[in-house]
Amino acid sequence: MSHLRQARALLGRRSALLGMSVAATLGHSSLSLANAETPNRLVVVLLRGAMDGLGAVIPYGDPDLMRLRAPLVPPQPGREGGMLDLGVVFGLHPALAAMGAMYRDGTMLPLHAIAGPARNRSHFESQDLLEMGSDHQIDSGWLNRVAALIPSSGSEVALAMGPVVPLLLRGRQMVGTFSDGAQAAPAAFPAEMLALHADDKLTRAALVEGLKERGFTSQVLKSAAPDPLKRNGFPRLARIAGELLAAAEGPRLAALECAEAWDTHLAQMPRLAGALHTLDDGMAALREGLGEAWARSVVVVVTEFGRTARVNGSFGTDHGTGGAAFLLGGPVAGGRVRANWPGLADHNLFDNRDLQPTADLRSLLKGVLAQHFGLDAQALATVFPDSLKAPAMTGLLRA
Amino acid sequence: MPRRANPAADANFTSFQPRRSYDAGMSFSIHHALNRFGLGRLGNEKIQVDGRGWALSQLEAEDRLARLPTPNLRDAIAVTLREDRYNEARRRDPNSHPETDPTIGPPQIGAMFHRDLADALSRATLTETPVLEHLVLFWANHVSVSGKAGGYVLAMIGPYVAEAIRPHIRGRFVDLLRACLTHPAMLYYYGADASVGPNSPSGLARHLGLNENLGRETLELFTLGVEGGYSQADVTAAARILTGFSVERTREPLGFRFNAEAHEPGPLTLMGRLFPPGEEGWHQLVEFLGTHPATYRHIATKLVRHYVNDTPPPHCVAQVTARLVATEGHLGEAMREIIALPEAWEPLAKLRTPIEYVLATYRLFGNDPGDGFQLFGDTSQLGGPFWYATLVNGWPDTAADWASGEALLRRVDLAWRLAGRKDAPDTMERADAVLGPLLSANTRSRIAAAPSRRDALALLLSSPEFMRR
Repeated sequence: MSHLRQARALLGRRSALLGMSVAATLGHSSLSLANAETPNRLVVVLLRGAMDGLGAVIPYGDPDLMRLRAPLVPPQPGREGGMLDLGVVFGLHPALAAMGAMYRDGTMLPLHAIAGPARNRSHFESQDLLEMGSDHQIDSGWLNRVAALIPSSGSEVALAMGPVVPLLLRGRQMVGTFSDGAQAAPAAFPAEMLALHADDKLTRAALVEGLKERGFTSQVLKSAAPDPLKRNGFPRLARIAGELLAAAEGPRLAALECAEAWDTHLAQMPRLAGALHTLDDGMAALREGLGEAWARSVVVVVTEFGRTARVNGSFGTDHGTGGAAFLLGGPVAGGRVRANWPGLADHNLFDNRDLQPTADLRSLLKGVLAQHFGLDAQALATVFPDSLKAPAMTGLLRA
Repeated sequence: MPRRANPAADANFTSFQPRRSYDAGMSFSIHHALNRFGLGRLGNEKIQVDGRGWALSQLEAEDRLARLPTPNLRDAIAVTLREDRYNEARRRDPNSHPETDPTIGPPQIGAMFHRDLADALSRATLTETPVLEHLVLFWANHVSVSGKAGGYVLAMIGPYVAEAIRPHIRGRFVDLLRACLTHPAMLYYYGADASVGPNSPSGLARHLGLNENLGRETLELFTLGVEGGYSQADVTAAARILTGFSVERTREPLGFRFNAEAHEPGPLTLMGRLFPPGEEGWHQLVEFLGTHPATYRHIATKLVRHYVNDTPPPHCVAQVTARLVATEGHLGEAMREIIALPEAWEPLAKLRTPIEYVLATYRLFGNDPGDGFQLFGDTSQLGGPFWYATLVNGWPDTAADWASGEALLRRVDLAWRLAGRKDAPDTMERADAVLGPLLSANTRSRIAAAPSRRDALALLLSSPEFMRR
């Protein structure tokens, strides 16, 4: 296993699905590979901790909503601090102003009553399965498997924004990681250091990729117009991700985490508003960073599950099942809410407590990959194994 | 659990295999034990040849850190009350300056967290019982309370580790569990003090009710594990049994208080077992969960993953589980079982986590790190800020989680920075002292050929041998 993996890691990272042998890849110049390259970009934003879907995309027209969770519902559209009307029965949380503007210009698509394959309300198992793209434990993340299918001659196909790689991007393909730290050692030191790791397959491969990525990153960020970015945290990271992705040689795929307090068991109103505000700033910053590449970019925002339909005893919500997701970007067929709405009557709730999921997050992801990167059914089956029951959604992007 | 219950993903990573065998005369066992079970050798700490004997004797040693003045709950509570007074004064008059009022003064929660972190890290750097300190790190991460929650929690983590974790690391698991579940740090972190029985007097009068947070994570993270065989109904039952847990901050005795007014009345069934209402119910619940075979298997798996291999060999897990069952959950006995496993002696099989790497680095210098808070900054730089886990299950524990390019390069950055310190020791002497026969010929010759003293020390600290344990 390790020999094969190493050979792939060193030589043919993107060649497997192109049907090229390792030797053929070696012989090819980057120019000939470039012909097969896609200009499209995909960003996956993970909201770990479980965003309250019913609090973010509020079904205010559902007759049961106020009965279940009146203390958690912002004012109606049109009132002060009210939600943004999305038409039909839904409203968008008022903290999502920039995403609301994208909705109005047709590049933001909320999806509702959607969930990954897990049903046990465990953060960690649900996150794992969402990141693996599977209903059972497997050995890599789905975005890493996508990276194997995307031809690119530039830097790494996929980039993790942050020092550690999320499970979503772990697997056979080497992926880049974004550096935001001080780089203290002088130029000659890395080579000396690397020589120590000749025998350590794990650390050597990681360090080589890390050095490459730092080189690429500093090049791109140096060439970008100097912008005294005052905002910190997630919006800053999102802005930088946009700039790195927009570069011609930039990665095609990126994973980004919005590490906010999504797990709102307690006093949800102020906490969720704060978290959504950060997410919203981040999405605006990502769009800014992408610049004209926004027209070729799709951003998918997902969380491991939704939260209970009823308010709990602490003015919060507990772990639930069905939730919401967002699709953003130039190609997105937005300006509407996509949901097969199950309703919030008690008998329609999952286990009489959670929003009933009527769509699978894998269907959403498959639909995006099919339309955005032209992956066919066979390719999608390698990215999401055993997912026949979650067919690709259609019509997510404009034709 | 599951971030680590992914054996296949872990198997993607091959472990480092030095091309040599070791014999007893080469002091392999002590160097392995210092790194695997301890926290890396401290300066020129006296050592014996027999690593197994050393590790076992550490388990018997007096924990001198427990004797030092430690952060305590009374001080933490006083600080939270002061914070309340400060906030209240500001609420009454937004233009006031309560920090200049001698009866109130400036807020101190942040300062207290800073001080407790610095103390904990300095002490871990200088400890002569690193095996015990390593266990404190392990258990504080298993039953994690993170400063990321902010608020009162910040003042409580130091006392939590000192009072709920440290005294129990070689005692029975059920005692550790009881101490943690009833510690105010835990109750604030999980908002358990706000979870009220909906049919209790408080619940009915104030229209309050349950939140499931602590009930769920007690089952999933602390005890049975996600595959432990419980249902949603069991989660809710656990949350109901734990209602009434609250924090007393003004009347003696300070700290945990069972508030019967907020406790859900009536007996409850959890995993087919009937639990009585009232205080007796939660005592029985802790006893039931803390001694459950699934719990023993869960903690044995985590211990073996931590001390043996990212992919826990099933027979090792079975052996440690059996020891826990036979000793009614005695954690010291579980460690003795682990130390006796031949699999625990495979050199350098584990990649150090950020906190382990930072402590090993400062211990190599062998002197007081000065402001221990610097070490917190270092763990943050490496992606794993100490006592500040992002998610409720603490920091992950496998190479798959930490071996990204950037995360390892940041270790190299740290190595370069520290190697430039004025008190930097002689590298070859340190390399022999800290790694001994674990040091490969390649690393040894490259350190010897380094162009400067700083390069040499930075190379040692960024070598694969030093990144591992």
